[in-house]
Amino acid sequence: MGAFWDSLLKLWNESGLARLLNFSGGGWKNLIMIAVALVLIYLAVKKQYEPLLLLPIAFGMLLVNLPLSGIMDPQQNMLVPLTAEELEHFQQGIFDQVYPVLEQGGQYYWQHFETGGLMWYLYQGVKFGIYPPLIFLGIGCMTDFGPLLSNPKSFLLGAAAQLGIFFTFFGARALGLLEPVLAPVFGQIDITFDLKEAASIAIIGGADGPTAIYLTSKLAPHLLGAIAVAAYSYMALVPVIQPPIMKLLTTRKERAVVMQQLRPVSKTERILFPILVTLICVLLLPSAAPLIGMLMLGNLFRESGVVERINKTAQNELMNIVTIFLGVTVGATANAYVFLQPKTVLIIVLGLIAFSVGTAGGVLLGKLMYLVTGGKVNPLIGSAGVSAVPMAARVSQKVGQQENPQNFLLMHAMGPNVAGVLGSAVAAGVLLALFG
Amino acid sequence: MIWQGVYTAAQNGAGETASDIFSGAGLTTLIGMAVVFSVLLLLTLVFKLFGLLMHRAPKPAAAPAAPAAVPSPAAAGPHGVSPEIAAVIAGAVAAMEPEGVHYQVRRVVPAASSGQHPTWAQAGLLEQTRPF
Repeated sequence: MGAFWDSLLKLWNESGLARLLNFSGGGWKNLIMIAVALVLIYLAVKKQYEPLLLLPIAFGMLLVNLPLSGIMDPQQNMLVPLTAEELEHFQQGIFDQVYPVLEQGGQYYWQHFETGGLMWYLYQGVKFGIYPPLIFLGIGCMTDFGPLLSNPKSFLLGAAAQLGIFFTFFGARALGLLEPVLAPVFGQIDITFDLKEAASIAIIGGADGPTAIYLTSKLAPHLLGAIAVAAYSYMALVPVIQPPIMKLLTTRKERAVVMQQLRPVSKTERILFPILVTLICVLLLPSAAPLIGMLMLGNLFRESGVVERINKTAQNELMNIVTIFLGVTVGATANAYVFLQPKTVLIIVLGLIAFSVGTAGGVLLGKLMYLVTGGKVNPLIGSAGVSAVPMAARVSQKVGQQENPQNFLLMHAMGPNVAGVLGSAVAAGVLLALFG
Repeated sequence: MIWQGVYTAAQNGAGETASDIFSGAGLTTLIGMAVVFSVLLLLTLVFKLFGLLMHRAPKPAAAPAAPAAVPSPAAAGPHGVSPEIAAVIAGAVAAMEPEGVHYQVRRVVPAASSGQHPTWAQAGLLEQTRPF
């Protein structure tokens, strides 16, 4: 009977539930993370906050924070020396273990190989920068660059909206100077972000999930979970964050501007666009090649009209498969020990600043264009340079319609919106070139 | 690059002063925005020029087209709506009929477009921009 209870006790002690309830051993951190994951699932399902990515991210976060699941354990190769008895057997051609034997410097070792967890293997696509460019391939297949081509000035609005990235970089770096100021209140806390971490946080301002994940996986992979959650949450909150800033920086007269109808764009222009953009951007900034190259390849698939099968595959099946792998594995990096740090709160605050400053940057350049063109450009379209496609363009349309119900800014705003995708990829290329 | 050496030293965190941080971060901000603006300005100029060239090129002489079938005045309904279009509209209306109710199409009149957008385009815009 005693053996029965001993076995049960052993089973209990080796269960995840026992670890979870072991508060003195840090189990409470996993409980908090599980609660955070459930909240994110609620936001994704009920409130529809970017569900395509937030749902797999949240579930990955849930899985990795269930103790002892081993789902994100890395593959392990260990060399274990043979004992004298094992060596004697080995010399007689008898293997006491299933592992191969390696001879090194006259010593014999077992080559232990422990298989990694499922998510660890799938995560290699993030680590080696494979998934985000494939997502960009699908995005390129789905994006119509016509509004941008018919009004090339929109490129500049896309550039101006990237101000949020670099302003946040500055802020993230300067934050460490507040440590001595905050120490009397909070004690010794670490709020210093090094160059790579600051760059990874700053890219949230590009409002581009794959770009943020790509850059962070290269520069600061330990922040990937927090940055991905912040980036996708704020992208879903664009209709809440942007309008107050847009109204603050513009007058009613400016918001009511009706823009001239866009000129039609020929098929030749549409086909040459991805080729020219790739040549120009990659020659100037080679580090942006994976993102911009795949985006433009996808767009060429779409515009050429001669590869409909792979166009459909890239924007449907491939995109969906990669989205699942990317989302779940990014979420699985958010374990309790990495996520529950004071820096995570700062990342969320800095992400909001990045979005806000990016919106302001685009609107301010829009105002300048309004002045320079004599009132032909509605400054509201500048906010769409924040590349949350197409939500930011719809926000411009909505705010413009509040001033003039007959004003249809949507297609005008799509130009800066898709230019912002290019702008954030270029910005990521710059940060990668400087700090990679 | 020169500044990479500076950044590598700064990244080692050895005794960074406020001045080091502000100057380094400020330099990154300036360089970053300058590069992003330069690349996108170049793209603006290239595609502006491209658009001008595409729209200035003389259109090739159109090959003589086969005479298009012109619907006879007798075949077109009143207000220029052909019988086929009228039939399609009647079918769509029939599909929307509630149970037990029958509609009869008596007249088909093309809607006048308001503002700068054709009616069909306006309907699409309204569909895409309904409140969210």
